[in-house]
This record gives sequence, structure tokens and C-alpha cells, in this order.
Amino acid sequence: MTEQLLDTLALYGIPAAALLLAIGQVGIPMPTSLALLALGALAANGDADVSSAFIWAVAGCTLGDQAGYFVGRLVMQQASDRPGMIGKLARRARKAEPHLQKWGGSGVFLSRWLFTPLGPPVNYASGATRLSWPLFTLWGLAGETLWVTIYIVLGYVFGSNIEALANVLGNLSMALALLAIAAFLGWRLLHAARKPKIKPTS
Amino acid sequence: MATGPVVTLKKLWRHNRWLTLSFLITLTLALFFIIRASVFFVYWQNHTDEPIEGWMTVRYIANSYRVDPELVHDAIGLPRTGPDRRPLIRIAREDGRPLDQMATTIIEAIEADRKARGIPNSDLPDPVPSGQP
Repeated sequence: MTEQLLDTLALYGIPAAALLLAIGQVGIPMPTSLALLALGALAANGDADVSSAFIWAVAGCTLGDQAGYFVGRLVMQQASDRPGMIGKLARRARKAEPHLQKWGGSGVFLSRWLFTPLGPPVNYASGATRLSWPLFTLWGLAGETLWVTIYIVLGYVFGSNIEALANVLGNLSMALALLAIAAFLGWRLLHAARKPKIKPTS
Repeated sequence: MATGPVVTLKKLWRHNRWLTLSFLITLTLALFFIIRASVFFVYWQNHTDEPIEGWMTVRYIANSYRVDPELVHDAIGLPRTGPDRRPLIRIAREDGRPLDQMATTIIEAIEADRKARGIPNSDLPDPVPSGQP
């Protein structure tokens, strides 16, 4: 599956890779990091133009991010005055807005390049909670630029056996994302441990 | 109020069961992925010869197997008009040749080259700088 996808990319070139990155950013599993590593490795051998690869890749990621953001925003807009679960969720999301204006930017930034598996859900959540669009776009662009740079440089430097390297990095970023969630849960637990009588949930 | 980790854990378990459970599950999963990453890291360190695929170019393969790009270039009978930047799959499409056959020919040429030089796999020299065809 991965091999066929890469072959397709090789046939249709860098714009096809950008499209793959956009689809990956929407949340459909795609070998995005492998594609970026391969671009870097090909550039290292003089077989790909690194600057155009970079620009296309950042554009593709940003397109996917924006799609996620606007889907999240639209769905919540439609749902907020509806009864039932979705409506309740939408009203809760609205309540989280002040928090998000404060922390959303760094969340978007870090989920682009460090906790990458969290990227797509953060896109939808940012739209749903109406995180300000310029903030989302700016931090998103900064994060994607960093992510694309890291992977292209890694591909460029190591230059061979990219698929095994992609496996290493994929598992590592999954572990990092889980550790970030664990840190958040641990923080809430610490909070709960200090005042256990206030929130006796069962 | 009694303290100590066991008491705290017990209390958390009683009052925040779901939070505690999800915390533990997330940590376990993180550990699982850390172990997986390490296994792949060891594999990555020990396997430099990457199986040939359609997206690879002549010079990428040469780099992976640490041979002169010209060796790969000649193995699949490309004309000597400077380096070919196309991926194998495009060479296959445009020149009408099966990909598997090209991959086999390349591997055979690399094996012959290694045998001729009598150098064990791990002691192969660095590839020739790619700027020189």
C-alpha cells in the first residue's frame, strides 16, 4: 500500500506529494512523514528540487489544516442551537473559548511538529471552539514549516533506508503524543488528589 | 489526613476511576510505542541496503547500497547522457521495461561488484559524490 502510494507520487511529482500531505492533515492515515523524508533524500542526491518541494509541502499541509478548521467551525455552528448531544457538545465547546484563545496557539503549533498525531483532531477542535482564524493560521503555518523542515532535513542528512527511519519517527511521535496526553491527565489527577471531596465522580 | 502514595492512589481510584484508568492506559500505550520505536531504530541501524522500489532514483539506490551511481546507471542500460533523475517507475513507464526486471538486474550488478572487490558488506567505502556522473 505504502509502496504503491510512493510510486504514484514518483510518477506525478511534488504536487501529488502536497496533495497527500493535505489528505494526511485532514486525519486520513497517509505515509506523510515517509513522503517528506523521501523528498529530502532525493534532494540530497540531486534528484529533486528542495526549495519547490518545501513550498509545495507547506502549502499542502496548510490546505489540510484549513479544511479541518473550517469543517469543525461549520459543524459546530450548525449544531449549537440544536437539542441533544451535539448541541450540548457545541455549547460546551463555546464555554472553552476563553481557554483556547490563551492556550490554543501553542497547542496548534506543537501539534504540527512535535505531537503530530494530534494535528488533525486539534484542527477540528480549533474550528469547533472558534479559535481565532489568524491565530490558528499563523501558528499552524509556523508549525508546519518547522515540521516540513525537520523531515526534509532528516531525509537529506540520512539519505538512505528512509522507510525504516520513517517507522522509527512514526512510533516516536505517537509515543510523544501519548505522553503529552498522559501529562495532561496526570495534571488533572494531581488536581483531583489535592481536593478529592469536591468532585466525587463515579 | 493519611498520606503516602498508596493511600493517594486508593483515593484516586475510588473518586476518579476513569481519569486514573485513562492515565494508566495512555502511559502503557506510550511505553509500547517507545519500545516499538527502539526496535525500528535498531533495525534501521543494521539495515542500510534498502529493498529497491519504484520511487527510487538511480542515485538514491547507489547511495543506499554505497556503490558508484554509474554502476546502477549502466546496469539498467541507460544512455550515457549524464545522470538520470527519474524514479525507476518513470523509467519503467517511459522506456517500457518491467520494474521487477530492472530491480533484479541492479541487485545482480551490485552483488557482482561487491564480490569483485572482495570487500565485506560492512566495509564498503562511501559512495562517490553525486555531482560527478
